[in-house]
This record gives sequence, C-alpha cells and structure tokens, in this order.
Amino acid sequence: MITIAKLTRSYGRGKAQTLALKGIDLSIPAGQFVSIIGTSGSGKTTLLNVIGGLDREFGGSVSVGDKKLETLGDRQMSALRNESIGFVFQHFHLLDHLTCVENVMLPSYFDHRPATAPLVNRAQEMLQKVGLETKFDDRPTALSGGQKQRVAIARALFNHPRIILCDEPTGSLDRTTGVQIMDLFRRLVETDKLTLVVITHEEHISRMADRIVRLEDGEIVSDEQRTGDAPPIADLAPGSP
Amino acid sequence: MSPARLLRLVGQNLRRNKKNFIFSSFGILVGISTFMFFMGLGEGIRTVVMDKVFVYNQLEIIPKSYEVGAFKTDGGLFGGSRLTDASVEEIRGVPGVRGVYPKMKLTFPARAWGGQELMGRNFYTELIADGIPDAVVKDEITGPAAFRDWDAAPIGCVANDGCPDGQTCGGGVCHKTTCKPPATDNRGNITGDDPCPGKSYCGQDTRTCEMPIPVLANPRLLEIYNGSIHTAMKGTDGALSKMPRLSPAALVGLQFYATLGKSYLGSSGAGEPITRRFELVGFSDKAIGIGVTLPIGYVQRFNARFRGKDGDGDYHSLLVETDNNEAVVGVATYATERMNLDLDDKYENAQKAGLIITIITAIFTLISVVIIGIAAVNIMHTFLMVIVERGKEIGLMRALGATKGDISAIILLEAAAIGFVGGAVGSAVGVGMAMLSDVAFDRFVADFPFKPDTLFAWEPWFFAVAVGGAILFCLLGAFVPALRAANLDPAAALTGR
Repeated sequence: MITIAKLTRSYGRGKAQTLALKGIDLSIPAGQFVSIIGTSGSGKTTLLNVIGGLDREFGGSVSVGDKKLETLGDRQMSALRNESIGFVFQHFHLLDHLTCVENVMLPSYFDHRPATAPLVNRAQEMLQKVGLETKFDDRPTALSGGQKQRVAIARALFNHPRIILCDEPTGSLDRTTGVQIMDLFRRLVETDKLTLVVITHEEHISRMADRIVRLEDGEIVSDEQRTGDAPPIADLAPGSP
Repeated sequence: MSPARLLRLVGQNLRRNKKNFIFSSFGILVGISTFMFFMGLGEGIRTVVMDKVFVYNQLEIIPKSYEVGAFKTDGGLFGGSRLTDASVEEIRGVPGVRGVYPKMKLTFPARAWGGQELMGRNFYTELIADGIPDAVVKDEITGPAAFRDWDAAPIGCVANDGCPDGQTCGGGVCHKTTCKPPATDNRGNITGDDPCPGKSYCGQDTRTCEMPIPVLANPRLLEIYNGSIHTAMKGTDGALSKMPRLSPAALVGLQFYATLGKSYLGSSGAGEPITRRFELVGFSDKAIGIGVTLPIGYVQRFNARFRGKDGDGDYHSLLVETDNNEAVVGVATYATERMNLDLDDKYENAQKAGLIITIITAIFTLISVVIIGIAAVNIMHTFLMVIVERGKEIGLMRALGATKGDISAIILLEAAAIGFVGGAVGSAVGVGMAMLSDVAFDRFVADFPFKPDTLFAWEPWFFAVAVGGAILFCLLGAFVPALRAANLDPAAALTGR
C-alpha cells in the first residue's frame, strides 16, 4: 500500500522556484498495476522518485507500507529500497563490466539479511523468469534493448520486493518489444502479487494497467480504474491505435 | 554492506578502472620509493657513522685543563679538574650510567718493533699506548687470547693446571720459571733461541719466563690501513706495496716487542729501559684510536716505574657506557656542569654528525612526503573524475539499497587499495634502487676507511610506515570525493539532471 498526501516538490528558490508537484493525493493498494501518464515535465518522474525514496526533499507525506518516508533516516530508507522496492529505468542502468548474473545480483551487495539460497542460483532463477536462461554469463553489451530491460527487471525482482517502480521502461524500446516487456510485467504482477507503478507517456502502454493516473503540470487531472480485462497483446502491437 | 561484498565490489571497480588507478598510484609509487630510499640511506649512514666511526651509547670524559702559552694546568688556581677513583665512583652513580672504565695513557717514552712474520722485515715506531680495565672488553675478547693482566696478582693453581706458559705451580700459586735470556743484536732484536715454553718468552731484565702483554687495537686502524694506506700503496715500490688487505682474524696473535723507557725521541729519566713482548689479542672500539691498549694494571706499573710519583695517580679519561643513547646527554651535562670535566671531541663530533644526518634525512623525507602529498591531490582529482563518470552507477547503487556509508566505503576502500599497492610496490622499488646504488657504489667508488658493504639499512617499521603512509595519503585524497559521492542526489544522477 502506497499512500501519498498533499505531496509537493519544488526546484530552485525564490523567483526561479518551480513547483513540480502541487499537492498530490494518491493511494495505491497492494497488488495494483498503476500507470502514471503525462507529458514531459508533468512531474511523473519526480513522483516516482519520491515514492522510491530517491528524492527526499518533498513536502507532505508519503507512506510505503507502514513506513512514513519523511521520517526515515538514510539507513532505513536504503534498507526499504533494498528490501521492498525494485526499480526499472528507461536506460536500463546495467553495469557493462558485469555479466547478466552479476548485474542481477547487485542488490544482494546491499542486503543485510542473511541469504536464504545461493545468490547465483537466485539470480539465474530470476533470469529464467524473464526468459534469459541462455544469457547468464553474457555482458550487457552483447544484448538487445529488450534483453537488457529483461535483465533490469530480473535485477528489480531479485530481492523479492513488494513494489516495482518503472520509469519509462519501454522508452528505449521499439513498440513490439515494449509491449512484450509490459506483458511480462503484467504476468509478474499476477503471479507474484506485486504492486507495479509504471511511468509512461505512451497511451498504449498505459492501457495495460489496472488504473491510469494522468498527471499534468504537477497535478492529477484524472484517475481511472480499468474495467474489464486488459487489452490483448495483439491489439497493442504495431499498427494498432 | 558486508566486508566480503565490499571487497568484491571494490575489486570489480579496480579491475574496470585499471588505467586510471595505475596512473594515480604512480605518484604514490614515486613518493614511497623516494621515501624508502632516503630512509634506508639515512639509517645506513647513521649505522656506519654512529656505530663504527662514533660509537653510540658511550662517551669519553677527560679532565679539564687550560693552556696559556707554554703553561698547562689541570687543577688548582686555574680551575681545571682531575680524574681519580673518586671521579669514577661519582660518575657510576649518575642515572643512566651502565659502566665507567678509566683509561690511563703511557706517560714515558717507548718504542715498538715487529712485523717480520707478516711483512718479511721489522717496522719500527714510537709506541703510543693506554690502558683500560680488563672488564671493559670481557664480552668482546674471549678465548685463549685473553685480555688479562698476567702480573696483577699471583695466579692460583692445582698441580700446574691453570698456570700460564712458563710458570709452574707451587704452594697453590703459579711461579715464573727462571731462564737465561737469548742473545740480542744492537737494536734489541732477539738473535738466539728463547728457552721459555709456549707463548712465554724470557725477560731480558727479569730473567724469568713472561707471558706476552696482551694488547687491543681499534678497528679504525685497520679501516684506515685497508681504506687508505693499502689503496694508496697498491702498485708502488716497497714492502707495503705487496701487503694484502688485512682482516682482524689475520692479525690477532701477531706479536711484537717494545722497549719501555726509551724511544727514538728521548729516554725516561727514571730507571733503565726494559723490553717486553706484546701480543695483539683483538680489536675493540674501546681501544685507543692510534696505538695499542693494554690492561690498565700494566700501564699503572710502567708509569710508576718510569715516571715515579708523577705516574701512578690520575686517569687520563673515563669511558662511560650508558643504558641508551638518550642517557648520554644527561651524563655529559652532569660531567661538564657538576664535575667541571670536559668531553672528548669524539662525543661532540658524534652529536654533530648525528644532527647532520638527521637533518639531511629529514629534508629528503620531507621531499618524499611532498611528492606523496602531490600524489594524494592527484588521487583526489582522479576520484572526482571517476565519480562524475560513475554518477549513474552510484545513483543505481543508491536505488538498489546502498547507504551513503556504503558509497563512501567503496570509494575509500578503492583509494586504500591503490595506496596499498602503491606503497608495497613503491617500497620494493625503493629497495631495488638502493640495491642498484650499492652495486654502483661498490663498483665505482674506491676503498676508503669505513667503506660500508651497503649504504642502506632497513628497519621493519620503514615498510609499515611506507605502506601505511601511502594508504593514509590515498584515504586523505579520496576523502572529499567519497563525501561527494555519498551525497550525490541519486534521482538527479539516474536521470542525468
């Protein structure tokens, strides 16, 4: 459960101050797939960074589970990110000098909890889950854009988080690959009961979510629950509206 | 983050940024190798100068005397001082004093000759000698060639056991055997066969078998011969040109004669000259610089014989051994200020030499520290650059759960690793440069007195300081970048804002 109340975030000071978020109120129940859509500069990435604890300079209140982010210190916030939140970025942010398995294992470096299974096995399991069982020892430079994003998803899933935050996860992919990635997300949400928040500016991607929150100029202008089943993949493929 | 994971991550980063880090550690390597080189050189020179030329932990005290034209006074009206048994006892009581050994010079004319066995002909010289107690060198001169006063007191025995050569046991003490002295030429050289057994010889005046008087020489004499005389005489005509380099082992056991009470420059007014045989029993730093050193009992008896009442009183100097070098200053102050005594020039020279070496070593060490400091600044720049390059990666790590402390630890450990490698390799390079210098020194620099086998000496703490210092400077250099990395805004870093 993510609860946001009267969230504000500004950049700059004095006359140069820009209000990126203007008192957002939002509640996302556990297990929901939410897409936040908006034009560039609407504040959607800022909102995601605040939810993920990457941006701490906000006003108002943000709770993730039972944790109020504004009250957490660096260690507690870091532990929350490590244990409960998985991030997927537009530009993947994979480390080119590491193999796929090593990239996926990265969260384990900062995990203070005792490992329940060998870390390499767990990383391989995650890569299998995203369909990359033949790429364990490949380096990211040898992968396509879609494969890189799958590695990033495996990394986000590695510590079994409750929430996945995705910032334009299909922004660097072609439409077909983007749809495949979103389909993968949707399946993961269903099987792992994850809360998924996806930032996107692509309408067809947002339509795959249970709920579409539209942001404009730092404010929520619409909040729609999808009724019925998600559209079939074929409808989202190239050539479809 | 656990230490094992931290090390693994740091290892991966170092491998990835090899070029940057090799470049960074080069400065550290240069600084540390310079540091090691000069520390080793300073210590090496200090060892030679302070242990061989000037001996550490000891000083020589002499009576104060004033000279005004041809007049010299050592007491009374002009305020000079004397060295007596009371002086010895007083200095023994000064804190830090381990031992006090009086020295007495031979104060009458004497001449010596010998060297036939070694050089094929005898050499003649004025005899310069002093005396020291046997106890001074009891740990240095051991074995059959003992540094002992054979005539100090009757030697106890049981049926000839324990008697020296030429003496027999009677009534529980050794008695010298009477003998007929062999014939001599007009220069005093023995021409006939000596009737006394073993090492003993027949005294021309005593007509009894006598043990040779044991003497010590200073190793500096040998150094001066090997380093200067031997080098200078090589290739010239004359007996000395064929002389080999000499070692203590080759010279110990060498015997020579001396006429006491008469020299080439004059004769003693008191008593007829006598001839005695001497034997070199060893080398010691405590022996007189030029001449030979006898057990002090012989000197006291000879002085009394040839100088009468003038010759049996004061000591000429006191050799004082201290517990450590720091105590030397206190003893020197006590002797000069409380007892109105003087210090031998050697002590002041040692102080000056020690000071000069310390200053030179300090200057070069400072230079190496400056080099390491510049290297630390270079490391700071490298890390600042690395942090800009790795901004997104740092942002990613923060997103994946790294704390600010984790990020700092990664940067600082990378710096420490560079310092460790730079320090270790720099130490090895410094020692290597020292070894090359030693080879060049040995090959291109001619022999001179006290020429050492190596110019360098190493203490284990040099290596600890070198590696520890390198790590410390790298950590200092990386401190600001580590703070900056830790405080990097992860959201901004990830989005490239």
